[in-house]
Amino acid sequence: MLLNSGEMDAIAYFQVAYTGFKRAEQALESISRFYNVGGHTICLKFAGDRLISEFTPALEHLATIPTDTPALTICIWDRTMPMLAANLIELVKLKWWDLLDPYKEIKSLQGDRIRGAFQLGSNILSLLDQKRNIALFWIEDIEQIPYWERGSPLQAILNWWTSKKNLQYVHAGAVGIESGGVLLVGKGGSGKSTTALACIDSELTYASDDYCLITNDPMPYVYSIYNTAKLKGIADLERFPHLANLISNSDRLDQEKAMIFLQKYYPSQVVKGFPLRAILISQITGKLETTLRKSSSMMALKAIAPSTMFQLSGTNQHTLQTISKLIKQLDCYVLELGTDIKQIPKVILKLLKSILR
Amino acid sequence: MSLLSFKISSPKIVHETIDGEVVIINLESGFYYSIQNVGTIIWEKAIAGFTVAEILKYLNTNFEASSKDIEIGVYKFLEHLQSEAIVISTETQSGMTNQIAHSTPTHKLAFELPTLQKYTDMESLLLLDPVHEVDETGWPSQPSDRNSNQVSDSV
Repeated sequence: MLLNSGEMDAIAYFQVAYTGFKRAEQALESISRFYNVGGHTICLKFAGDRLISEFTPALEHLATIPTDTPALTICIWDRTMPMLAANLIELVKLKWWDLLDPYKEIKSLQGDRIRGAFQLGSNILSLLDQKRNIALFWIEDIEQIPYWERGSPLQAILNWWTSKKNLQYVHAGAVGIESGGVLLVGKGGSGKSTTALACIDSELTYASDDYCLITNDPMPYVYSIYNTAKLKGIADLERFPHLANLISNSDRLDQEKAMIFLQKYYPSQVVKGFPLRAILISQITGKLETTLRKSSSMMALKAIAPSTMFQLSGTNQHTLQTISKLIKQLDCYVLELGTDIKQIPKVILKLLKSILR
Repeated sequence: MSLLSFKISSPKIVHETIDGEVVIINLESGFYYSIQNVGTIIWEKAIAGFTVAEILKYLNTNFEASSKDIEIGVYKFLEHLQSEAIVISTETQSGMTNQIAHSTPTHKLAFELPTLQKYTDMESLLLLDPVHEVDETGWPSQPSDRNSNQVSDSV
């Protein structure tokens, strides 16, 4: 089944896996939570309450009122999986190099309607039916959930689904004020998280430190997805000593990045989004002062497009054009980050006020 | 006249031009590239389906260099694009070629050898061995040598 499948086989596979959720839902309690993601109400449906605490803290700032007609329903469960569906999973584990593409998508589930991905190691199956707006997130054992899935949950499903809704999932941070903000771009380690966290005690609000949604329609806008701040290593903890007590996984820092769910401690600072006014390419300089200098649009494109597109499945020429269109509408700067952290929000705020004047 | 032309090798090659510079991303290899100046002109015309002969004729009309130097530069550049699996060669049928509008320029531009700048700093975001290395990208990646991630080289 599915090794050479067409759409009908993909739909059949989805349905078989879906019965796994249905069975788990019947055996355990069914619990729904609702979130506003990119302007759309999404329902997370859990089979059993053990799973809720692993997924919801990162999304808590987007919690919204329940509805009978969510735009997308994501069914989340572990363990129970019908044998027919489990067979493919076992096959993928054995022959991943044949059955998965470089983005961990299952090659036989890459149609316009059904998409599928499998994370080896953590053994997570993600499936989306674009037509019915139902997604399945199955993990072999919730006890084995990796920390990044708690910090940035459901990435594959949200990326696939939002890309059909005029939204683009990107690797970028975002801080700003109600009337406008900046997108923080650059590859991992360039200072996006440091910048976003440096702003948390300022007039600036926080929308993201690594993943968010952008749109060009009707104007450049960023939507927050996760309220998770991540700190890496002792140097980060030393930069933000007042945050040390807020870390959610302080007992596992030898294996995981430190994570803070900001909504819990800074609810007024975490926002759902704002119009975008500029793009800042973060660069760590080692100097004391933080400064800004004008940059080319191409430099900004290089700072955001490869790091976004190499991390996400299903990206294509349209993805690059969407990012490029956003960049062309905004002024781009290099944010040369200094060691005096307190200067960072001041520099960004000054820029925003000059743009918004 | 040579009817040799080139086309983009697969949908996994995506590209965008801003202010005369091209960025090309290979979604399968994890490499990305930059092209500027004369290279941008050659790229735009090549992916629009113009033959090599037509591109050479355009460059000879508009750039100050010997036709031999232009020819060597163009072929070397296209070979680089081919060796990086960005484009593949194709034969255009006689009579099917495009026509580049030629007008005699008032002065010719200096011809600089076209180059393809290759960036390898993002390659580690893609997989190697899914069993042994798993990081926060959710995908097993190669053992990291973060210092080497700064490298970019000219092909």
